[in-house]
Amino acid sequence: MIVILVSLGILLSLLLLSIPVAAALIALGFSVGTLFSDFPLYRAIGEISWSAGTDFILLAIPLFVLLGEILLRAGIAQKTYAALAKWLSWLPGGLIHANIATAAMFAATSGSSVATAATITTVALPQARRYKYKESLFAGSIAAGGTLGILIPPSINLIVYGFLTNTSIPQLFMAGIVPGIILTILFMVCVLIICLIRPEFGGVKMESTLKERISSLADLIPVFMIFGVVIGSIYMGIATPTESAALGVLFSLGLAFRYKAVNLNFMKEIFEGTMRTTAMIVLIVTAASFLNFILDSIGLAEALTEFVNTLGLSAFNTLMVIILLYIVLGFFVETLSLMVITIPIVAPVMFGLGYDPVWFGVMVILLIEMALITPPVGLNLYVVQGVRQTGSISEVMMGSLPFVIMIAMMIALLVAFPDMALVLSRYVS
Amino acid sequence: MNKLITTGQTLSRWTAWVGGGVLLATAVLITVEVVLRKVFSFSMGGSDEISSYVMAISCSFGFAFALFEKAHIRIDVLYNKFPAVFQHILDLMSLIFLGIYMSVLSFFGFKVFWVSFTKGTTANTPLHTPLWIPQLLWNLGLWVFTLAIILLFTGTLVKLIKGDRLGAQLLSGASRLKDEIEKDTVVLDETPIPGGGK
Repeated sequence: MIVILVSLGILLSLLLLSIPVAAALIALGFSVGTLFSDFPLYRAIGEISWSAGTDFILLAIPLFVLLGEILLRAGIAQKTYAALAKWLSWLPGGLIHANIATAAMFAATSGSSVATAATITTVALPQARRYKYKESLFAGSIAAGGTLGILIPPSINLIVYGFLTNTSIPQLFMAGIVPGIILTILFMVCVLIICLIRPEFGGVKMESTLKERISSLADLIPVFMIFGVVIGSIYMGIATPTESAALGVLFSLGLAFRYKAVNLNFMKEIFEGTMRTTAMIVLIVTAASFLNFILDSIGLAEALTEFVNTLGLSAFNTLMVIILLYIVLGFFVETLSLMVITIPIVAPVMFGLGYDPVWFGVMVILLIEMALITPPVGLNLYVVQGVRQTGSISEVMMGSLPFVIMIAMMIALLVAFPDMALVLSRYVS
Repeated sequence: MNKLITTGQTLSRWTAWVGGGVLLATAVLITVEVVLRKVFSFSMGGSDEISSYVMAISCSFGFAFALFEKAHIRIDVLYNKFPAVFQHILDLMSLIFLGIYMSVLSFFGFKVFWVSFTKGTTANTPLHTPLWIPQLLWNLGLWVFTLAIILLFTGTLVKLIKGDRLGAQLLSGASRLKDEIEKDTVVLDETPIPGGGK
């Protein structure tokens, strides 16, 4: 137990002192390795980093980031937004539904939630002002919509979870689909109800003709096709996640060519964006895999499982404690960091209690989605506010509150009906 | 000193272009492999192995680029509330922690290469790749990152001694959300008007 307290203490102090997350993980690895083991464990850092760096599964990360960069910088987010607006704007709440749907589709393919939320805010916000929407709900819907992408595959966070826990990534991807869709619907229903009660929140109604809608399909279908290529090829067993990412990259590049977006500057930008995000993620994941090795070598998981057993908590109560832990930590720690620092400790305990690794993966992602839009550190809130520049951040926070409640509801649903996550994952091996 | 850092930044940008380019090339390679395998039941073999090396090498060089771009995540909840002097200290501390990590990793990464090189280890795959080749390049990237950290640390220190606080902040301060948004927001000239408007 003392090991855990000491490690948590070291880690949290370093993180709160703004030491880069990767370096903080390594510092923890070194100190725990020296304090609690007689072997010079740090010597393994070269081998471990090389094998993490060349892991074919992790190659899916740069490729999905590249895919997202291509779509984003080819301006496809804008086109998707315009098309979805035509299809959804007749609903009470109008464009807010388009915000959620576009954010869900784009965050799913883009590696950076900052990029997705920022781009959609830039495109959508002028419309909110023009059509007199309640700005806090409008902004909150973009922040919340942006979180959907880490649940709906292809999700980089699910890849990181799968890598750290040795869980099948195809199964995780499939497991994310149904909860992702249900949560999207919950978001939209929530907006619908709010705007039925308070119609003035929903702004001025806009009309679009059937002809306009049909012609907008030309901008919508390609994006669905990319999703289909990536997820379909995994589902049918044609490709591994990494291979499906490669297919998606080429497909989206073709699309960028069709939109005449490709030139030298475009290539430079997507390469820079990709390397920026990829290097950041890979450094953290490499550090986390070393920390994982250290914690494994000192037998932390066994000790912790034993400790939980002596507490006499039931499996369900342990889950409640863990959910609470994530909610509290989620107030302060950013998403990817939250995943890599908690999963090596929490996951083995949960697996030991008999929880399904795939199911728990989806649960962790939901909890992290919540962290993205809960103050004081909800990253998406600040991004939306950063683009908005007028008004106060607390408006965005208030606006995303209904969606926080929806995520909490989804978490409860997933606990009550685990099959929501597992139903599709049974079909892939 | 300034010139050295600017050169470093330019070079790291070049490595990012090359890194992104070869990653795109691996996407092509992998796609060809998948198509050949599924349509013609024929496998070139080795595309996964080669692309794995490409990832390791492009990322190890990408680390330095991400450093100059302030992309390595730092948690700034408290940081933003601290007085400027304390922020500078934390910036330097961050670089020290990263520097310790990277010098240890570069050293043991070199050992990984050296063992493969002296023993002539080849990959346990049909390609029989002599492992020292990708490992040397990978290790080189790690040393470049270590150097970049030292360079940035020295540069920040020099600026602080000269009293150029803003310059120091620009070099190594935690990234500001505003800059991130600027880098990542993509809106093309044509403004879409959803719904056709009224």
